[in-house]
Amino acid sequence: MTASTRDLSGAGAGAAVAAEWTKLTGTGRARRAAAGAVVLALAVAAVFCLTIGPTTGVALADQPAFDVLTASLLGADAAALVLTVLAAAAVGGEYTTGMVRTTFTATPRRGRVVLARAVTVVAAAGAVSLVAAVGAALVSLVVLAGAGLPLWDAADPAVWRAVAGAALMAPFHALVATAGALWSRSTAGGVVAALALLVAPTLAGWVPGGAAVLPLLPGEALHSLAGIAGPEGPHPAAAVLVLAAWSALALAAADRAVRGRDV
Amino acid sequence: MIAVRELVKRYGDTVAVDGLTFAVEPGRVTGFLGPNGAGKSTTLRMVLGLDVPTSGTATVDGAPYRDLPSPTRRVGALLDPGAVDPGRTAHGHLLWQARAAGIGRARVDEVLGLVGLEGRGGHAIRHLSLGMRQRLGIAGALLGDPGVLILDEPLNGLDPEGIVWVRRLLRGFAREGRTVLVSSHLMNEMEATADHVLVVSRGRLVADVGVAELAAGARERVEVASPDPAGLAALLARAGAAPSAAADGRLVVTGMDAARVGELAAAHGVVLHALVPVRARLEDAFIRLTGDGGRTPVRDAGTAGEGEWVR
Ligand SMILES: Nc1ncnc2c1ncn2[C@@H]1O[C@H](COP(=O)(O)OP(=O)(O)OP(=O)(O)O)[C@@H](O)[C@H]1O
Ligand SMILES: [Mg+2]
Repeated sequence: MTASTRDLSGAGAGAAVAAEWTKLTGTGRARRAAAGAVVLALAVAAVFCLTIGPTTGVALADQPAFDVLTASLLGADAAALVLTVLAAAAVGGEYTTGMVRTTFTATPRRGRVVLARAVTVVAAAGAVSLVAAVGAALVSLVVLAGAGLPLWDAADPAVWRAVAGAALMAPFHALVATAGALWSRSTAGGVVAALALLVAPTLAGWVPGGAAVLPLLPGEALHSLAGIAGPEGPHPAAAVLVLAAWSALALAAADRAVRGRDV
Repeated sequence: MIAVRELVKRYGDTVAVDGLTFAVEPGRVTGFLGPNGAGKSTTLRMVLGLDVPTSGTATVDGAPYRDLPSPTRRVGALLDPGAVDPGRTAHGHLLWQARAAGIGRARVDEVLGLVGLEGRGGHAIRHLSLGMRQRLGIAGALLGDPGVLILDEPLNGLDPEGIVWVRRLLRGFAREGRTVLVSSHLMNEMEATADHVLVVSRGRLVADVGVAELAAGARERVEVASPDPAGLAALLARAGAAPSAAADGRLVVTGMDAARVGELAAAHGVVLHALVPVRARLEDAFIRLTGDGGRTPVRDAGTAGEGEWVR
């Protein structure tokens, strides 16, 4: 059989996504890391719920149930940090070992690889962090019940908005980390890119007039979508736009860098 | 078919590939030979669209690799068997590549069997030996059952049995009318493998020739020991041979075969203590070709001694 007699129609973008998904999630290492991120979320949630009295100056018994919930959701933030580093390492590791050359040989259209990476990392980090956020919320429920305090109302949409909002942090930052790692060809570059966006609101608070750019930063947008941004936070629609713009910017930069250079 | 035209690659001040033009025809094994640093791997990376040429073009079946609709089902390539994630299993490493080409899982087990890694699919790559990783890399190249095979130093790290196996594989591929390009820095490694060789040196093509032709052109020499080397040398020189004195007092004669040297000596009553024909190895031809580092103008066949090998 020779190649010319076979169907050689293109494998398409779907194949690139399937390949990246297998690559990202198909190892025992990746599954253990995902499980570790969830366990970390539960542990951090428990710690923040149980220490809420000393850390906020308001005893657990005097806290509104919703505030105990949001404290527990810091566990999802911890999971997000882990998933962000993992996302950067998945790309950086390919550059370190040279496997990236196999990647670009298997899928020579590099823009397709960048996009497939983005789709898979958002899906994987989103799924894991959703589990982590729901788990963290349940931890707060256990803590409240254990203390014999009134529980938050599971029928309250604000609860699930907070949970879903907390779960958004990981896919967004993992995406930025992926783009940064592709751009810089290193794990460190990806981590720095994600951390830069993470600390940007704090830095903006230090410079005079910095507060004006706060609504344009992803931190405020994520809070707004979670419904915990406060009255002067951006409108959720604007928040979606802000996150989409940052994602597009990061991906465009990665795509541009990856396309024209030697691997 | 692989076609490379006026290909140039510079890395800063280093000219890794310096105006290469050649075609790799289907139906035969083409050896891509050159000493370390000659630019073989760089050329192959450009053929696969991994490195961007400074100038010139490289195409496979008429199109740049990147533009092939189903590249890995047309071209199977192995550049560096070490460029893998050591934490992945052999099976996992092949599976994601199969997915990228829309190839089913069954083919993964099939190629693992083809390269003699059946039963090892579940092993982490870090636990595979050097030769097994080489086999895994070749398995990856075979995944898409491609019509064109490009392998960079595939015999590295293989045991004798593995070398014979790869040779048989390459020859079988060529016999089926496929295109096979395989690089090496050892001519004698290619002698038993390739039908045709492209020899590069310092990024330039110094030979594009059939292996049989190259072997025929490799000059024979005769080593002679005599109590009267000076007299014998004069005699041989008069008869048109080119004798030269070796360090051990023997004469090394080119341009005349052993039988004729013996006849001449007998006719003139010169005593011979030894008369040894030495078949020139292809390795010598290779060193001769690449020895001047490709400074000989390649296209200037008239002036370059080695130019005779370049089309
Ligand atoms: N990415 C790079 N950056 C800078 N120089 C490079 C790069 N890749 C290759 N070179 C240089 O280009 C030249 C050709 O290297 P190449 O790896 O193509 O040689 P080769 O023929 O494959 O050698 P070997 O037989 O050792 O594998 C060398 O001088 C090498 O140092
Ligand atoms: Mg090389």
